[in-house]
Amino acid sequence: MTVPGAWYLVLAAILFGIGATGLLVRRNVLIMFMCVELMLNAVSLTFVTFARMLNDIGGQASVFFILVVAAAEVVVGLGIIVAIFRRRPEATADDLHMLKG
Amino acid sequence: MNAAYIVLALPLAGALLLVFGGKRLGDPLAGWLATILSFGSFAAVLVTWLTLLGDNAAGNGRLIEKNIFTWLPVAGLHVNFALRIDPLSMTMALFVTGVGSLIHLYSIGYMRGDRDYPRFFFLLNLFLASMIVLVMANSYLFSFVGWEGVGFCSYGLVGFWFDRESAAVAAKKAFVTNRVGDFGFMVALFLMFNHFGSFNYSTVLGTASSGLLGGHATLNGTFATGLGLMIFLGAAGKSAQIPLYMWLPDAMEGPTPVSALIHAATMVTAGVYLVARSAPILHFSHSSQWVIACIGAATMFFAATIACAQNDIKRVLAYSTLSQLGYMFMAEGAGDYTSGLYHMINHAFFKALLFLGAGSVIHALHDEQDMKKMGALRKYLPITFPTFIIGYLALSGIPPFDGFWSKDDILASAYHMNFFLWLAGAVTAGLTAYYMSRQVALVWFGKARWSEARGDSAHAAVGNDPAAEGSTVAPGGTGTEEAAHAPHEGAHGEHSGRPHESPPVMTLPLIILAVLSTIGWLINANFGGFNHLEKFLEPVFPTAIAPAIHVATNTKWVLGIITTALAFIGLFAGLRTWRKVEVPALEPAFLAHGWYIDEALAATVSGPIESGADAMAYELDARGVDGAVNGVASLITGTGRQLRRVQTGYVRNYALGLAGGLAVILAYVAARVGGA
Repeated sequence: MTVPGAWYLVLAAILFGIGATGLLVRRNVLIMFMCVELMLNAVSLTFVTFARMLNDIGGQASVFFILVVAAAEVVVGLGIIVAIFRRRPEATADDLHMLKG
Repeated sequence: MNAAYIVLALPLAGALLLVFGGKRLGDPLAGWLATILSFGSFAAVLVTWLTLLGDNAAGNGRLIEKNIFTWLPVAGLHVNFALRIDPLSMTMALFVTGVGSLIHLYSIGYMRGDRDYPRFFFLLNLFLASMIVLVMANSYLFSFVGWEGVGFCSYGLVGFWFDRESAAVAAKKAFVTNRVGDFGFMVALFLMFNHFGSFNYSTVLGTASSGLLGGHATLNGTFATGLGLMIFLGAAGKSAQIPLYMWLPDAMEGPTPVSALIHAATMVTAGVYLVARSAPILHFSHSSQWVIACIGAATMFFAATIACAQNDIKRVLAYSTLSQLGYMFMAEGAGDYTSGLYHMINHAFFKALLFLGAGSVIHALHDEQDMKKMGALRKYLPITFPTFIIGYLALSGIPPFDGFWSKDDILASAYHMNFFLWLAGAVTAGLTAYYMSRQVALVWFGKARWSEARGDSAHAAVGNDPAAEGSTVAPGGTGTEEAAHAPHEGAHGEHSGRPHESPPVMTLPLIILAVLSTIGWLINANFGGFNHLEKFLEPVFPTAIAPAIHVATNTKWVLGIITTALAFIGLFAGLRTWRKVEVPALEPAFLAHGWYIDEALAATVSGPIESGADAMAYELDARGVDGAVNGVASLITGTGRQLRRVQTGYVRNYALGLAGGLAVILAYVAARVGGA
């Protein structure tokens, strides 16, 4: 049996929703970072699904770019997070509000 | 004819040389340079004039234009810097440069030792150049350049001793009052350009070949009246007629040669010239001619009454100048331009003479100008005294001196226009004789009041301590020339209190002017074919625009005898009253204060204007304008302060913003897609 393409899309939407909600409600920087990754992967899943449904290789090509960018982002993002944890015993995102107007 | 260029070039070059190198030339040299150039200019005018006389091509109406360069080559407007050589401009240029040169010469002696000697001669030369531009320009606009030039020089010379407040105020007053007149001149220029499309005298006024008004058969009467009155407003400002006369008496704050040159002989005649030049326009407006005649007559009488009650030797002469200018305007209003110009020339001679004589007296008495502190000077100033007396007789209209002839001509023309104009003129002639006799009696006869006056004044220190002189600046504020003359005092310190005759460089111009005041009337005596001036000016004032005025010979005799009798009555009344040893105080305060016009103006005009300006400065500007500007600034600051709070620094807030924005965009897209 084949799984209908819509299911993938629904799954992608659920994943995106979880990621977005987590980003909004959690305070831990590491968890928030993971949520961002979750949202990115949800989008990648959408691209792949559409590529398959529309028979267009462009979607899969886009996913390659997303993966590369995501990897780079992980490097930079984790680096920042590690630096923050080094300076403070524990850190939530709300502690880092020095850039307020 | 190329001498015409030299007429203008010499004083201009003098001004340039003096402004850059005057300090280096120093005390007497700068004056001599200016004087020589001025005489050179006069010689060039003579050459130009003789060439014009020799130019018998009657077809061009004795008119030559010499182009210098194109000034404004704008589409539809083409103005050249060009000199117009015709009988009128030559008449003006001759006496302006002639009398001007004599006054230059006199100033060498009078200004001796002044701190700013070169600046004085720079301004004199610049003034002469401006005046030449004014009278020899070929268009109203180019004349206006000279017009403003003389206005500036007048400002600079009235305020020559600008460290005295009264002089600075008088200069400002002269300038501002002149600007009011200039407004009229400028409106006239606009009207002229709108109607004729040109400023050229030849185009606007016409020539002998093109006919009146450049071929326009006629001019709309209302338009001519408007144009004529605007021109007259300009003339009234420059020539100090009612209501713009207030500046001239105050202008006596300037050095005396300036009073002679500018405020008696030359600059104030610019208005008379302008009106005479505009005769073809006035020809079409009888009402503006009436206005000019009546204003002239009013000024003439009004100023003469004030002159009867002045104590300052120069202010008497200043009001007398106003009065005589009134005569000239009355003549022009009556359409007798030749007599007006004739009187102007005569007046230039005898008024310059009187002013320079007064300067000599002031010089002799170490800058004393109060006639009540003079007296019995005839023994001490053997040259100034007789020349002054000639000027006095000429101004009083006593035959056979200058003033009698031209005043008689004017009064005959005034009689032809209206009996009351003549009456005012005749009464004024009596008043003129009276106030001049008062002046002569107070200055030259009676008891010497100066010796005791000097004894108790600060002048005791003169000569011993020039520094002390400088510190006694202007006890009364007005009317004394002592403050800036301190170095001058030092130069003559050895005379201590005793009056002394002026040096030859000052008396020579007096003698020349006295001779001219005695024989100058010969240029236009109205008998025996002596009317040279009238014949010379005929191309400028053809009968088409200035119809000949016929007054029966018998009537003329009667009028002449009556006015001369009035003059003699005034003369004897003045001499009898004021020759007494003790000085009577007979002047009505009303007249001494000049009919309280200045005070009334201060109360009615200056007061409200000042409080209006205060309201503008402290209410409207400080609160209104500044408030609006500061309000805008604080509005922006406040908005920024509120908007700043959006930037919380919390990531979750930003994320929520992003999510919310995304939701809105998605909803919008969905609605669009759904709708389609």
